[in-house]
Amino acid sequence: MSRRCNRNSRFPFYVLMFAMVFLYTPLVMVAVASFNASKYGGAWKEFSLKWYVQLFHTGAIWEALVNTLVIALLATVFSTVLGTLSALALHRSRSRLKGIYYALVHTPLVVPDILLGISMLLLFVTVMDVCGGWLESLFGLRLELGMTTVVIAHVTFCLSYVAMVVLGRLKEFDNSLLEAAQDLGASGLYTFFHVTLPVIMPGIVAGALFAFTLSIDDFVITFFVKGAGDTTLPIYIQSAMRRGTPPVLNALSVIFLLLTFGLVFVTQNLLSKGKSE
Amino acid sequence: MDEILRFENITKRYGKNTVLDNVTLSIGKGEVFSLLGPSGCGKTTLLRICGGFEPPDAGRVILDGADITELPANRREVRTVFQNYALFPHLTVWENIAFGLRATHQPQHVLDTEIPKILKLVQLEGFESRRPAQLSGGQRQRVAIARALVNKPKVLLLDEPLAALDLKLRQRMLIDLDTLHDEVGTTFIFVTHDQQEAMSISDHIAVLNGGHVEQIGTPTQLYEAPRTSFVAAFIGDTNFFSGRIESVDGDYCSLAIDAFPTLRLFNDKKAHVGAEVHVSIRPEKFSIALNRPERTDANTNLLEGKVEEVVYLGAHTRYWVRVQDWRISVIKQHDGYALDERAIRWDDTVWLKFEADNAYMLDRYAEDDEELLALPDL
Repeated sequence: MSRRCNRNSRFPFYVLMFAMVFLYTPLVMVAVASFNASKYGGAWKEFSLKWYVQLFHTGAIWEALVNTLVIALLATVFSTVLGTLSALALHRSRSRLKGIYYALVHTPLVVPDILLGISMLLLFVTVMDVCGGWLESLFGLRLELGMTTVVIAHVTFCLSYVAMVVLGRLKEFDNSLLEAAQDLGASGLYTFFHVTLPVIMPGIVAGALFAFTLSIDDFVITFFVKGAGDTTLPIYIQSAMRRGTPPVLNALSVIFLLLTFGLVFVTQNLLSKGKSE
Repeated sequence: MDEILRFENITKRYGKNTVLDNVTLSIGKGEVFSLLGPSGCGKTTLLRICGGFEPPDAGRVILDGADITELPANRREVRTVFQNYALFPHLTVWENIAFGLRATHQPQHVLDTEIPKILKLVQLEGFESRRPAQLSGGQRQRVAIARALVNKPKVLLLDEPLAALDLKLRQRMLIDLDTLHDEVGTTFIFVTHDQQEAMSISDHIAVLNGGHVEQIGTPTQLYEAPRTSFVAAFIGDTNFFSGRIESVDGDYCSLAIDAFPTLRLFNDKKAHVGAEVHVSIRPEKFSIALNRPERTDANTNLLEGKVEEVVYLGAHTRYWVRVQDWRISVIKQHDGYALDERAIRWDDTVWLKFEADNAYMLDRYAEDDEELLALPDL
């Protein structure tokens, strides 16, 4: 009997527990601090919900939240449609450049946010410089950094995530289903809406939720491409932190955390449900 | 029999590889027609051409008198049962069967009358709201068949429909398929590599090999009168003999074979003296005995040999018997109580007997086909 490959070893379990502690201690700290009546994070004073009450009375936060949700919603819709279509195109592609297309769609996942932010800002400024003038004189359109540029930037990086998730779903797609539908007399369009789309739908929804979470969460890229007055929640939190650490942010973080957990949970469920079919 | 489907000079190439070479077939209305052959013989490609999933490079497909070669798959009155069934995983059994009717915009009352009928036919009543993932292999297959039949196609194409099932289920489904065919009367085209499946269900079989048709016939014709060594070896088991005609008298001839006794054969090919002839003799055409049997007439062949291998299989026993330089495969049916006889054992000297009428001369012989035979290495 070899002792080296002991399947009953508890060591991996301990490592896992350590990782869990490592991951979640900061989050627990925030959660605890949000219920602490003390204005200064250090010492425990007493249990209180007053920061939550105060949170609901801070107008700027609500304004930032609405901005964040509007951006996230728009970015999700556009990136889901574009991402799904590009995944379908990639899946069907027989081009020799298919590998390169794959890489190009996946690259934004690994490009540092700061790089994306800078390049996006550069692009917007250039476009505004070059055609801002005649666009304004011709159509009365004013190009400037603002919610629109934030949405465009968010669509850009969300698209890659949606495409990746949908492609994963398409890899398991049985192409004989398309032939079966055709064989039964269905047209191409009927097949798309009654076979392809429903079968890959869990992937699309998971991709959309992914995109939504990422958009809500984004700070770096938003910071670069937003207009002067616009605030999203992450931007608001960052600027509030610079003015000290108001305990109301702890309460906000907890609510934010719960929302994210919920979304991740739903996404995971959808993805695993897709696998089991 | 009226013709329902005809393949005319179908040729299909993938790159330099010719998958189907000038294939012409005629399939009668209401029959079960099998395309039989080893993998890579082109049988599935032919089926896909019929279904409209692949265009042929040359040739025509005629369905019920109309040329459908250019018709897209969704406008052909043929339906396919796919090898993996290709059931829609997101739809229930009922919705799967309804798919074809809905896609072709049939009114609701057609769905309400046709689907229960077909469900009853394939014995899936009560399974309407199940998903494919909740069904067994046999049930899935029945859903696939119901889904294909509900549109009342002119021809039903079955692509190795039993390959995914285990042996016992396969045999039962084969009987079910046969019963179903009797009830609906639709023409079935059945693609398989399993000769027993094809033999037991088909009215006619086309044996395909390397992209061309070797022979078309009823199961009995193919077994008893194989035209080529491929058909003889692929369907059932056989013994091949090659020799030169020594003499011809009337309908019979004598065949001289190197290092083997001269054989008396029925000269069905009207071969002349001196012609080189290849003969197939099925193992069960020989009778085997320990004592020298009586010669019935001049056309009875008697061969003396030594048993080299015995495989007892219950209903019958297989023997490999050495006769001079040749080894002969023999099957003996146990029509009596086997324990009462003195068993034939390894190394026994035995007598083989067969009648001249029971051999069959081949049109074409290829030595490679001998590898299809079940011969033990001795």
